[in-house]
Amino acid sequence: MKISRDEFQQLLGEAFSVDPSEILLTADAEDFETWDSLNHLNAVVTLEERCGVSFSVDEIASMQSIAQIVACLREHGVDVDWPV
Amino acid sequence: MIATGVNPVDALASSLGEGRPWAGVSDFLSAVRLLRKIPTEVARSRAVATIRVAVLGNATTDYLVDAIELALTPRLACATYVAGYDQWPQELLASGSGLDQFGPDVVVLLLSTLGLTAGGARYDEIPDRLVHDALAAFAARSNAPVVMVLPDIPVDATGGESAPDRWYQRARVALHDAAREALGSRSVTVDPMAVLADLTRSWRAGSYWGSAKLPYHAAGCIAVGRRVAQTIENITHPRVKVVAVDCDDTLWGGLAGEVGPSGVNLSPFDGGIGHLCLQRLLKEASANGILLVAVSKNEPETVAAVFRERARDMVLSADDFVAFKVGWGAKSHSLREVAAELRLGLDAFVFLDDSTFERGEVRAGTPEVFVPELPSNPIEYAPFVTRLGILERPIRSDEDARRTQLYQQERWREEARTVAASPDAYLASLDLQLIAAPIDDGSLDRVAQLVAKTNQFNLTTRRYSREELRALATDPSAYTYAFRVIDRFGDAGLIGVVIATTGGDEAVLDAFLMSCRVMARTVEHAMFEHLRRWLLRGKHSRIRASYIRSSKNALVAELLPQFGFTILDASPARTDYTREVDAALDVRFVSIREDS
Repeated sequence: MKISRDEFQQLLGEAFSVDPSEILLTADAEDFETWDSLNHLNAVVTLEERCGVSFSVDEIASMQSIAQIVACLREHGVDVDWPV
Repeated sequence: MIATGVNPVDALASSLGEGRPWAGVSDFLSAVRLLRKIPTEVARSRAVATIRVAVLGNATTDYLVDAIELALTPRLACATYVAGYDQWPQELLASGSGLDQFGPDVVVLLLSTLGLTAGGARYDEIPDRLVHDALAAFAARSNAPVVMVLPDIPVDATGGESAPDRWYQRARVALHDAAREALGSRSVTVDPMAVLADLTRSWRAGSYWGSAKLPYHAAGCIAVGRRVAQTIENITHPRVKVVAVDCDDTLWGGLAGEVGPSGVNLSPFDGGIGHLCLQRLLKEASANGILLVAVSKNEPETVAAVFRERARDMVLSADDFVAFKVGWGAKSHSLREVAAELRLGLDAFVFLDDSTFERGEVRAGTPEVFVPELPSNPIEYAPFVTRLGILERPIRSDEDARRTQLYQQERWREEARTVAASPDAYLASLDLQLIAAPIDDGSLDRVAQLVAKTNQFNLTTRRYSREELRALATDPSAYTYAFRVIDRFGDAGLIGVVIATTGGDEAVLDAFLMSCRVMARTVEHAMFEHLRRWLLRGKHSRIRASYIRSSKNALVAELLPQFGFTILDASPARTDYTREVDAALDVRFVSIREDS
């Protein structure tokens, strides 16, 4: 399963109510005021729905940066088409 | 995906269109974002009412609350209060809690299994006692009905006799009974499984209980929220009052005109079953006070013959219908006619017909009517209509149970009117009796309902809570009467309320309201005359009254002059009047009786 960089940025941009261009591999929860627990949940639920995966409690807790989200998706065989 | 960049009201309206909105959680979240962009004043001005909904629970309720609000939009606007996680006992028990300050119209109490069992780690406790005490304490302070979402089936239930299974079976009953005992008819329970079981994906919370205390997966929270919204709408402002239903291939299989009464399919062993299930659903709706109208393209005798000759095979009987509109004209015309006869707006109608052509004709001819796309397979009719959530009446009065009968009587009166020689001869022939009774605990529910719902024939549109009504009713200086009307066609039930307060020799008419279904029978004159005689006996010489204008009560703008009042003062918002008590009113068509 693959998800393009554009779609990934679009999806998380909506979840965190920020412009998709702000979704960068260097960004983390501290960078967005809107990255609160509910929007975090929105992001995870939306990713699960889009990619057909299911995360563990620990994985959900670990997703505190864009890079970690990408890494978690890779663990589940979802390739974000975005060179790291 | 939902279009962005356009006006959020229109964008949301298009996303909430036909059928099932929110194919997935991300669609739902997009719709919520649009909802949040609509200014509160705009949402409220477009809605028929704003309702105050408080949500309490033992889990995270964010998705549930958003789904409730979104599902009620745009017909009802919502003001919401969301209690802290697991704060429901304190909120319900403590006088002056945030819940009390909010003053809800409806309370939603979510008691999820994960919340009650420490995430499924312990199945040793059912808090029915606490639920009872908390709800009873709340009921002493508020009239708001409580919609309790019952526990869902435990994740480790076996369907047998394991500890989770036994806990689940007992918890559902114990919590239901606890709420019922604390709140009486104001308790409404919702079994979340009815909608969770329909989801195509797993509704289980999985990791989300551990990470976010979600009771179910987000998709489950959304589905349960929509279901709860239906209940809230049906309790507070039911959308549908009349079901107009086709006969051939809808109420029964086949065309009665071709196969005759004996040939239509009403067999429970084959294709007839879907039609019978729809009949059963409509029978229940009728018992709940929803009016049924048969709308069929046939000779009247053809339809009548099916009801007569197949009575034993049918669930519905002709008596369950308030009207039959059988003929060859356009069905939209029949709907207009029947709406006028029943004095109900077309927006209170739903139209069920198997024919795509007829549905299209009704949509075009009477766009106010709700015309759902009935599935093509009759076996899907009843489940489909059930899931529309429009026929549920979780709280009903005695009046609701008798509504079909009341409207039938009204139609007989109409027929008598057309044969009577003059309006006076007609009124005289009705044998009208007004029965006056002081408001007491026995009539309080119906009085409160009438006071809350009467908008048109209402001089002051002053709303009273049950507590205020009860206090007034026990005040000897206040006149607090409820009225019933009986005529030769039957009992119209409790139709009017009059409240007046007195001080010295002067009285003030605080409330004067009447159900529109007894209009044009001089009943209101008799109600006033009853008050006048009471004041005369109490040696009061003068009564003051006001017409307070609302958007809906123009009907009674000229009522007080008809009662012999003269104007004291007039402004656009209100007109104040006064009248001597001693001059009697002409009430020759109505005999007034005191209920003993």
